Amino acid sequence: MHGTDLQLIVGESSYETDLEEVSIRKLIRWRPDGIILVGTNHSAASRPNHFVVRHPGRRDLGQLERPIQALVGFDNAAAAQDLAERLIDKDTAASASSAAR
Amino acid sequence: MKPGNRAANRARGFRAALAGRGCARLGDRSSYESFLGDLRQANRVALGEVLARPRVDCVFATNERSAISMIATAPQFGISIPDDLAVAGFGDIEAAALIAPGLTTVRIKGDQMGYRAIELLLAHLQKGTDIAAHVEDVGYEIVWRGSA
Repeated sequence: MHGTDLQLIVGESSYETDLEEVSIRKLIRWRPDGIILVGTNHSAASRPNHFVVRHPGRRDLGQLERPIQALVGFDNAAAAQDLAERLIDKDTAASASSAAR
Repeated sequence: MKPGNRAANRARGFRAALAGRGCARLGDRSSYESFLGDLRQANRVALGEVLARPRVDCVFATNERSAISMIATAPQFGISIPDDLAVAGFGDIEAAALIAPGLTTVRIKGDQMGYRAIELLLAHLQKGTDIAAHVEDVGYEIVWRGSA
Protein backbone atom coordinates (compact mmCIF):
# COMPACT_ATOMS: atom_id res chain seq x y z
CA MET A 1 0.00 0.00 0.00
CA HIS A 2 3.06 2.22 0.18
CA GLY A 3 2.93 4.82 -2.55
CA THR A 4 -0.87 4.91 -2.54
CA ASP A 5 -3.25 7.22 -0.70
CA LEU A 6 -4.75 4.26 1.14
CA GLN A 7 -4.32 3.56 4.82
CA LEU A 8 -4.73 0.32 6.73
CA ILE A 9 -7.25 -0.02 9.55
CA VAL A 10 -7.18 -3.30 11.46
CA GLY A 11 -10.11 -4.93 13.20
CA GLU A 12 -9.55 -7.83 15.58
CA SER A 13 -11.99 -10.66 16.23
CA SER A 14 -9.93 -13.65 17.46
CA TYR A 15 -11.48 -15.61 14.56
CA GLU A 16 -14.87 -15.40 16.30
CA THR A 17 -17.52 -14.88 13.64
CA ASP A 18 -19.81 -12.85 15.91
CA LEU A 19 -16.97 -10.54 16.92
CA GLU A 20 -15.93 -10.27 13.29
CA GLU A 21 -19.40 -9.12 12.32
CA VAL A 22 -19.32 -6.46 15.04
CA SER A 23 -15.88 -5.37 13.87
CA ILE A 24 -17.04 -5.15 10.24
CA ARG A 25 -20.08 -3.08 11.19
CA LYS A 26 -17.80 -0.62 12.98
CA LEU A 27 -15.25 -0.50 10.15
CA ILE A 28 -17.93 0.11 7.52
CA ARG A 29 -18.83 3.38 9.24
CA TRP A 30 -15.44 4.64 8.09
CA ARG A 31 -16.58 4.04 4.49
CA PRO A 32 -13.53 1.97 3.56
CA ASP A 33 -12.48 1.43 -0.05
CA GLY A 34 -12.21 -2.27 0.63
CA ILE A 35 -12.32 -4.90 3.31
CA ILE A 36 -10.13 -7.97 3.56
CA LEU A 37 -11.40 -10.73 5.82
CA VAL A 38 -9.04 -13.37 7.19
CA GLY A 39 -10.15 -16.99 6.91
CA THR A 40 -13.21 -18.45 5.25
CA ASN A 41 -15.42 -18.82 8.31
CA HIS A 42 -17.75 -15.84 8.39
CA SER A 43 -21.26 -15.19 9.62
CA ALA A 44 -23.93 -14.89 6.94
CA ALA A 45 -24.14 -11.15 7.52
CA SER A 46 -20.38 -10.77 7.17
CA ARG A 47 -20.17 -12.25 3.68
CA PRO A 48 -19.35 -9.68 1.04
CA ASN A 49 -22.68 -9.94 -0.77
CA HIS A 50 -24.32 -8.67 2.38
CA PHE A 51 -22.12 -5.62 2.63
CA VAL A 52 -23.45 -2.22 1.80
CA VAL A 53 -20.25 -0.38 1.07
CA ARG A 54 -20.52 3.14 -0.21
CA HIS A 55 -17.68 4.63 -2.12
CA PRO A 56 -16.60 7.94 -0.53
CA GLY A 57 -16.03 9.59 -3.91
CA ARG A 58 -19.53 8.96 -5.19
CA ARG A 59 -22.41 11.34 -4.83
CA ASP A 60 -25.15 8.77 -5.27
CA LEU A 61 -24.51 7.24 -1.90
CA GLY A 62 -27.85 5.52 -1.96
CA GLN A 63 -26.75 3.30 -4.81
CA LEU A 64 -25.05 0.13 -3.75
CA GLU A 65 -21.62 -0.68 -4.94
CA ARG A 66 -21.26 -3.98 -6.67
CA PRO A 67 -20.27 -6.53 -4.06
CA ILE A 68 -16.84 -7.98 -4.53
CA GLN A 69 -15.77 -11.39 -3.45
CA ALA A 70 -12.23 -12.23 -4.43
CA LEU A 71 -10.39 -14.95 -2.57
CA VAL A 72 -6.65 -15.43 -2.03
CA GLY A 73 -5.50 -18.43 -0.07
CA PHE A 74 -4.53 -22.06 -0.18
CA ASP A 75 -6.09 -25.46 0.49
CA ASN A 76 -5.53 -26.39 4.16
CA ALA A 77 -6.84 -29.93 3.73
CA ALA A 78 -4.69 -30.65 0.67
CA ALA A 79 -1.58 -29.29 2.39
CA ALA A 80 -2.18 -31.39 5.50
CA GLN A 81 -2.83 -34.48 3.40
CA ASP A 82 0.33 -33.88 1.38
CA LEU A 83 2.52 -33.53 4.49
CA ALA A 84 0.98 -36.60 6.15
CA GLU A 85 1.40 -38.75 3.04
CA ARG A 86 5.04 -37.75 2.69
CA LEU A 87 5.66 -38.51 6.37
CA ILE A 88 4.11 -41.96 6.00
CA ASP A 89 6.07 -42.66 2.82
CA LYS A 90 9.29 -41.50 4.48
CA ASP A 91 8.66 -43.81 7.44
CA THR A 92 7.79 -46.71 5.15
CA ALA A 93 10.99 -46.20 3.13
CA ALA A 94 13.08 -45.98 6.32
CA SER A 95 11.53 -49.20 7.65
CA ALA A 96 12.17 -51.01 4.36
CA SER A 97 15.78 -49.80 4.33
CA SER A 98 16.27 -50.91 7.91
CA ALA A 99 14.80 -54.35 7.20
CA ALA A 100 17.04 -54.80 4.15
CA ARG A 101 20.18 -54.32 6.25
CA MET B 1 -10.16 -24.03 -1.33
CA LYS B 2 -13.13 -25.08 0.71
CA PRO B 3 -14.61 -22.85 3.35
CA GLY B 4 -14.76 -23.92 6.95
CA ASN B 5 -12.76 -24.18 10.10
CA ARG B 6 -9.07 -24.29 9.28
CA ALA B 7 -8.10 -26.79 11.97
CA ALA B 8 -10.98 -29.05 10.91
CA ASN B 9 -9.88 -28.84 7.27
CA ARG B 10 -6.32 -29.74 8.21
CA ALA B 11 -7.51 -32.67 10.30
CA ARG B 12 -9.65 -33.79 7.36
CA GLY B 13 -6.58 -33.81 5.09
CA PHE B 14 -4.59 -35.73 7.66
CA ARG B 15 -7.33 -38.36 8.03
CA ALA B 16 -7.52 -38.71 4.25
CA ALA B 17 -3.77 -39.39 4.10
CA LEU B 18 -3.96 -42.05 6.80
CA ALA B 19 -6.95 -43.71 5.16
CA GLY B 20 -5.26 -43.62 1.76
CA ARG B 21 -2.07 -45.22 3.10
CA GLY B 22 -3.89 -47.77 5.24
CA CYS B 23 -2.64 -46.38 8.55
CA ALA B 24 -4.50 -46.52 11.82
CA ARG B 25 -5.47 -43.38 13.59
CA LEU B 26 -5.43 -43.08 17.36
CA GLY B 27 -8.06 -40.42 17.15
CA ASP B 28 -8.64 -36.73 17.10
CA ARG B 29 -7.97 -34.64 20.11
CA SER B 30 -9.91 -31.48 19.71
CA SER B 31 -7.97 -29.49 22.23
CA TYR B 32 -8.58 -25.99 20.95
CA GLU B 33 -9.87 -24.65 24.23
CA SER B 34 -7.52 -26.58 26.44
CA PHE B 35 -4.49 -25.63 24.37
CA LEU B 36 -5.40 -22.00 24.45
CA GLY B 37 -6.22 -22.21 28.12
CA ASP B 38 -3.41 -24.28 29.50
CA LEU B 39 -0.81 -25.53 27.07
CA ARG B 40 1.17 -27.45 29.68
CA GLN B 41 -1.86 -29.38 30.86
CA ALA B 42 -2.89 -30.11 27.27
CA ASN B 43 0.57 -31.48 26.53
CA ARG B 44 0.57 -33.61 29.65
CA VAL B 45 -2.69 -35.18 28.52
CA ALA B 46 -1.56 -35.65 24.92
CA LEU B 47 1.87 -37.07 25.76
CA GLY B 48 0.32 -39.24 28.46
CA GLU B 49 -1.85 -40.79 25.78
CA VAL B 50 1.18 -41.35 23.58
CA LEU B 51 3.02 -43.08 26.42
CA ALA B 52 0.01 -45.27 27.07
CA ARG B 53 0.05 -46.39 23.44
CA PRO B 54 3.67 -47.04 22.51
CA ARG B 55 2.84 -47.76 18.87
CA VAL B 56 1.93 -44.17 18.11
CA ASP B 57 4.37 -43.00 15.43
CA CYS B 58 3.45 -39.39 14.90
CA VAL B 59 1.46 -36.51 16.29
CA PHE B 60 0.15 -34.11 13.69
CA ALA B 61 -0.80 -30.79 15.24
CA THR B 62 -3.16 -28.57 13.30
CA ASN B 63 -1.53 -25.52 14.77
CA GLU B 64 2.08 -24.61 15.35
CA ARG B 65 1.74 -23.64 18.99
CA SER B 66 0.66 -27.14 19.96
CA ALA B 67 3.41 -28.82 17.96
CA ILE B 68 6.23 -26.64 19.26
CA SER B 69 5.13 -26.95 22.86
CA MET B 70 4.89 -30.70 22.47
CA ILE B 71 8.52 -30.85 21.30
CA ALA B 72 9.52 -28.72 24.28
CA THR B 73 7.58 -30.88 26.72
CA ALA B 74 8.43 -34.35 25.39
CA PRO B 75 11.82 -34.73 27.18
CA GLN B 76 10.06 -34.35 30.54
CA PHE B 77 8.17 -37.53 29.65
CA GLY B 78 11.28 -39.36 28.53
CA ILE B 79 10.10 -39.16 24.93
CA SER B 80 12.79 -38.54 22.33
CA ILE B 81 11.73 -36.72 19.19
CA PRO B 82 11.81 -37.93 16.47
CA ASP B 83 13.09 -41.39 17.54
CA ASP B 84 10.21 -42.25 19.89
CA LEU B 85 7.65 -39.94 18.39
CA ALA B 86 7.52 -37.77 15.29
CA VAL B 87 5.81 -34.39 15.53
CA ALA B 88 4.53 -32.38 12.59
CA GLY B 89 2.93 -28.97 12.64
CA PHE B 90 1.19 -26.50 10.42
CA GLY B 91 2.09 -22.87 9.87
CA ASP B 92 5.87 -22.48 10.17
CA ILE B 93 6.05 -19.64 12.63
CA GLU B 94 9.52 -18.41 13.57
CA ALA B 95 9.81 -20.58 16.68
CA ALA B 96 9.42 -23.72 14.53
CA ALA B 97 13.02 -23.26 13.38
CA LEU B 98 14.34 -22.19 16.78
CA ILE B 99 13.27 -25.20 18.81
CA ALA B 100 15.36 -28.40 18.88
CA PRO B 101 14.70 -30.51 16.99
CA GLY B 102 13.22 -28.11 14.46
CA LEU B 103 9.61 -28.64 13.50
CA THR B 104 8.67 -30.32 10.24
CA THR B 105 5.68 -28.35 9.06
CA VAL B 106 3.66 -26.71 6.30
CA ARG B 107 4.80 -23.19 5.53
CA ILE B 108 1.90 -20.85 4.99
CA LYS B 109 2.60 -18.00 2.60
CA GLY B 110 0.91 -15.40 4.74
CA ASP B 111 2.92 -12.47 3.40
CA GLN B 112 2.09 -13.40 -0.17
CA MET B 113 -1.61 -13.81 0.63
CA GLY B 114 -1.78 -10.36 2.17
CA TYR B 115 0.24 -8.82 -0.63
CA ARG B 116 -1.93 -10.30 -3.35
CA ALA B 117 -5.15 -9.36 -1.55
CA ILE B 118 -4.02 -5.72 -1.45
CA GLU B 119 -2.86 -5.90 -5.08
CA LEU B 120 -6.29 -7.13 -6.13
CA LEU B 121 -8.01 -4.36 -4.20
CA LEU B 122 -5.70 -1.75 -5.72
CA ALA B 123 -6.28 -3.12 -9.22
CA HIS B 124 -10.00 -2.73 -8.67
CA LEU B 125 -9.84 0.70 -7.04
CA GLN B 126 -7.28 2.29 -9.31
CA LYS B 127 -7.86 0.55 -12.65
CA GLY B 128 -11.39 -0.72 -12.34
CA THR B 129 -10.24 -4.30 -12.79
CA ASP B 130 -13.08 -6.74 -12.24
CA ILE B 131 -11.98 -9.01 -9.41
CA ALA B 132 -15.39 -10.47 -8.61
CA ALA B 133 -15.24 -14.24 -8.12
CA HIS B 134 -11.46 -14.13 -8.52
CA VAL B 135 -9.99 -17.12 -6.69
CA GLU B 136 -6.24 -17.39 -6.30
CA ASP B 137 -4.34 -20.27 -4.71
CA VAL B 138 -0.88 -19.19 -3.50
CA GLY B 139 0.00 -22.73 -2.48
CA TYR B 140 2.15 -23.85 0.44
CA GLU B 141 5.55 -25.35 1.09
CA ILE B 142 6.53 -28.36 3.16
CA VAL B 143 9.52 -27.61 5.37
CA TRP B 144 11.55 -30.60 6.57
CA ARG B 145 13.32 -30.27 9.88
CA GLY B 146 14.31 -32.75 12.57
CA SER B 147 11.00 -33.45 14.31
CA ALA B 148 9.60 -35.82 11.68
